Amino acid sequence: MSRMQCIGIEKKFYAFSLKPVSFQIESGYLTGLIGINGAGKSTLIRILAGMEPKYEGQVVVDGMTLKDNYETVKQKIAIVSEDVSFFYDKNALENGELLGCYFEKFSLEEYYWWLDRLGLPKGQPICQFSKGMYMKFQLAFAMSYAPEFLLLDEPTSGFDPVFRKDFMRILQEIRDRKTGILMSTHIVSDIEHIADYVLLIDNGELKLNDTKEALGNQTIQEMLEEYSVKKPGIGDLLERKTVSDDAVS
Amino acid sequence: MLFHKIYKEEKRRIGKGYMWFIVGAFLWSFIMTHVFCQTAKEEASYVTFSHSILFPLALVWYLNSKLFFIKEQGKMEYIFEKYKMLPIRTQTLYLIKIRIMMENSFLCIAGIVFAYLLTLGINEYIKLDPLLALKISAMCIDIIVFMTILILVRDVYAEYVSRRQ
Repeated sequence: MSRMQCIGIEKKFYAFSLKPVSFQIESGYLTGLIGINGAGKSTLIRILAGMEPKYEGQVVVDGMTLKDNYETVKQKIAIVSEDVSFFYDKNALENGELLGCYFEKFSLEEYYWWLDRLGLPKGQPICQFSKGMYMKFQLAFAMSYAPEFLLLDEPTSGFDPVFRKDFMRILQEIRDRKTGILMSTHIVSDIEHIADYVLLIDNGELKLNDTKEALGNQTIQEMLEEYSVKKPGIGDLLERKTVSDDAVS
Repeated sequence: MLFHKIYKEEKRRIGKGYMWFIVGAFLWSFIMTHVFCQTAKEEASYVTFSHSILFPLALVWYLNSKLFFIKEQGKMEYIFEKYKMLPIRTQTLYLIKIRIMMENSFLCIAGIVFAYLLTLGINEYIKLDPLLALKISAMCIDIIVFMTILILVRDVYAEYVSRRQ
C-alpha cells in the first residue's frame, strides 16, 4: 500500500498563511478535503502536487520526499485543477502526445480509453472546452499514466448535476483501482457518500482529520458549519446596515 | 536519461525554423565577404566579418521566443506554466533550453566564420587579420552576454507576470 504523508506543511502569503498541516492519505481510499472558499485547500493541493516551489515541511510518498526526489515522486502524483495549464490551442490528442511522454507509465491507449469514457472530443482544441470538459480532460490525462495519488481541486464545480453523479461513480472506480484520492471541495454533498476520510481546513488550519464513520450521525455539512470561522458576507453587511439605520431612526 | 529525453522533445517541439537563420548567416557571410574582398583595396589590412553578427542575435531572439514562450489565442504566454505538473524541475528545463540556445548560436557563429574563411580562400585574399581568433572570441562573448541579458530580462519578467496571475 502506498502512502502520502504531509509533515508540517506550511506556507505564508502576504495576506494568508497555511499553518502547519500534517496528515496522510493512502492508496485505495478517498479523502475529502473540505473547507469554505479561501480556507487554503487549493494551496495545500498545489503544494502536494509539487506546483509550489517554496513551502515549509515535507511531502513524503513511499518514504521519498518531494523536495529531494522531485522527478520520481511527481511520477506518482496527478493533479486535476483549474490552475493546471495545458497547450490550449492544441487538441486533446496533441496535448497527450506532447506532455504524456514525460511520464514513465503514460499509455496512449489508456488515454484514448479515458477520453472515450468521459465523452471528450479528441480533435477539438481544448480552448473550446467548457470548464467541466476541461476538468474531464485533465482527469483523462491524469489517469493515463496510472498515478498512485490523484489530487482533485474542486473538480465538480463546472459539472452539471447529471454528470456530477457519474463523476462520483468514476471516482469510486479509480479508488477501486487502488489509487489514493484527495478531493477538495466546498460542495459537501459531492463527497458525503463516498469519502473514507475527511479533512476539514479552515483559515489555513487543519481542524479535523478523521474517518467518516468517526463523525457519527453528524453530517459533513453540519461539521463544516460548526468549525468554519464565519466571515461576514454581503447579506450580513446589509443586515448590519439595516440594524444601524433602525437605531438612528 | 530524462534530461536527454526532454532535450529531444524540446527540439522536436520548436521545429526546424531556426535552421533558416544558420543557413542565412552562412550565405550572408559568404556573399558579403566576397563583396568586401572584391572591393578591398590593396592596402586594406583585412576584410571584416562583423557584417553577419546580427544573424546570431536574431537567432537567439527567435529561439528565446520559441523555447520560453508560446502564442496561444493571440497572446504570448510563458511556457513554463505548461510544465508545472510534469515531473521536471524548473532548473532542469532552464538548463535544457539554454543548452539548445547555446548550441545553435555557436553553430551559427561557426557557419559565419567558416563562410568567411572559405571566401577569403576562394578570393586568394591572404591578408588575414592577425587578431582574427581574438575577434571571433570577442564576438562570441558579446553574443553570450547579450543573450544572457536578453533571457534574464524577458523571461524573469514573464515569470513574474505569470506568478502574479
